[in-house]
Amino acid sequence: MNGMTADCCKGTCHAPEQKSEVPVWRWGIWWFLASEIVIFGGLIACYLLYRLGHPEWGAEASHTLQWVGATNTVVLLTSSLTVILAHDAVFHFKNYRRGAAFMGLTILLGLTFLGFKSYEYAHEIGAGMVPARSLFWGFYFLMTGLHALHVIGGLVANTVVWRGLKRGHAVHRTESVGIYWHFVDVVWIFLFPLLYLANG
Amino acid sequence: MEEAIGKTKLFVGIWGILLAALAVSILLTGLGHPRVAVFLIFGIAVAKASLVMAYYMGLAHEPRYITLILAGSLFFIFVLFVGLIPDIIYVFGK
Repeated sequence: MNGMTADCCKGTCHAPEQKSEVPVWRWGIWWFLASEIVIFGGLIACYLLYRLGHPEWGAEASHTLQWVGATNTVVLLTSSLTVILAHDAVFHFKNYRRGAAFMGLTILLGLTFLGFKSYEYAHEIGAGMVPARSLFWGFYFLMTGLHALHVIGGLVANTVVWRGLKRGHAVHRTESVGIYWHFVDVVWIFLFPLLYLANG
Repeated sequence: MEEAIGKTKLFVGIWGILLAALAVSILLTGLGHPRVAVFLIFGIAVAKASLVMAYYMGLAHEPRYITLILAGSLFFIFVLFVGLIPDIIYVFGK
């Protein structure tokens, strides 16, 4: 009878409490990411619609530094691996020291990404590729800039968790910041081909 | 413990696949047919994002309603995209 006792017949029982198999903190991160999908998805959808009407944007895209974009993709993909290895080390092996080391490596890779991005911005702005030049560059700086802000936010969260791991706690936080960091990676997986590779 | 080690190997294997897919995407830009290349490159991007979401973010092990929350967001984007296509055709299709 679905967990109810005979007392139910007398009207004195309570239905068993329904507990979600997903903890609250994970609900929170997924809802947060759902809202982030709308932000980045809306931007990407608008970019694609404009791109359909502006074939000349292909020539503009050819001015982006493809090798920097590709290097940054490798950096972010690798940081996704290190952040999950940090969680793996703590959650499965209870090895906080190793977890902190992988989280530290993730932070370094995030900083490397920002370093390459800064170099790229300096090169492009120096060559006159500014938002005022065309709508393509407006989209380029808006989307990559918003993404870079998310990387910075992720780095702050990762640093807090890294400090926690060094003290031997923050297991769940390792997972939640990891999920967020992977999302930042997923966004870049789409931005890279959109802005750097689709230049034909 | 063996299961945990197996998971670690899986994560490293996925990272290898993601890097290989990135290399293929870059090589495709040299393809003689830009339109075909763009479709293939975006197909690869979707596959890469799916791998990250399923295994790194753990969506493959989450209840289905979590996936539905994210799919709901994607649905709104789809509506925006499809809803604006006639406008784009009207403005730029002349």
